[in-house]
Amino acid sequence: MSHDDHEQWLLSYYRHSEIAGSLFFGRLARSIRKPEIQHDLTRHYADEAQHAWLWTDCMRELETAPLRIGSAYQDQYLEAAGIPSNLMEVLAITLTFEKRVIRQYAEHRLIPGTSPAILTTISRIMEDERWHIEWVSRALKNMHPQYGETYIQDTLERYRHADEEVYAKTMQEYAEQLHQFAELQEKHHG
Amino acid sequence: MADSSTEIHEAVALFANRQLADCPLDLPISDIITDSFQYVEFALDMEDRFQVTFSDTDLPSLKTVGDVISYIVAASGGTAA
Repeated sequence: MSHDDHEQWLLSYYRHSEIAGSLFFGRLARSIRKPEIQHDLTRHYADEAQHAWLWTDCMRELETAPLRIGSAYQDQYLEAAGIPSNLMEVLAITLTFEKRVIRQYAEHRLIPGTSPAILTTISRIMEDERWHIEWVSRALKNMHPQYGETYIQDTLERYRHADEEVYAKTMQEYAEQLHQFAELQEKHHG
Repeated sequence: MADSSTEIHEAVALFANRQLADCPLDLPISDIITDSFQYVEFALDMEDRFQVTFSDTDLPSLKTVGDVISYIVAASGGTAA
């Protein structure tokens, strides 16, 4: 695969992942009626959809087009982590996932010679991702009286382990694409 | 707190988009919940309506509409009518 092929795959993957996130949060936003959660969750849903559009727009600027990606990270997530059975667990899995997303984007941003269009897109998205982590962390803290701090911490720990498991088992393709892209990029710019 | 098993039964039927008569107590939950995300939506809906918190092990063990009603009634401190 060429440098451009890797880049096309990675950007398509990010776009696909943001679409999957948007669909997930869209359904949640439709279900949840607690006003204090509903407001932030609906913004979160809108952000994910906006991010999918930003990647689509970025790809157009780079004169490439989105590929059809088989499955997003989220698709395997529920299977490994267990299906959340209450609102606290939904937020705990969201927090774990958002932290993973930030790490992925931060890693991509460090690749030398990354195009300005990609850097701008990642910067805009990461600003929102930081807010996502902030509001979900706050909501979880506010849930201490209802669910108990220990149950919340245990749930976060359970999802953190599941996240590592999913990442190790299913993310080889992403990791390989990123690694090969970084190598080609370094040859080109180094 | 759940007021009565009838109220819970009505909420389950509403979630399933069925008339109460078409949502009998022995109806398998798998007829109502067809994908993993619907499972999440169902848990959140019941939690929101009846302030009942399902654990990750409780909900999968409930096989029928009747099981769900009994669980919620017990968890909310009431008794099934």
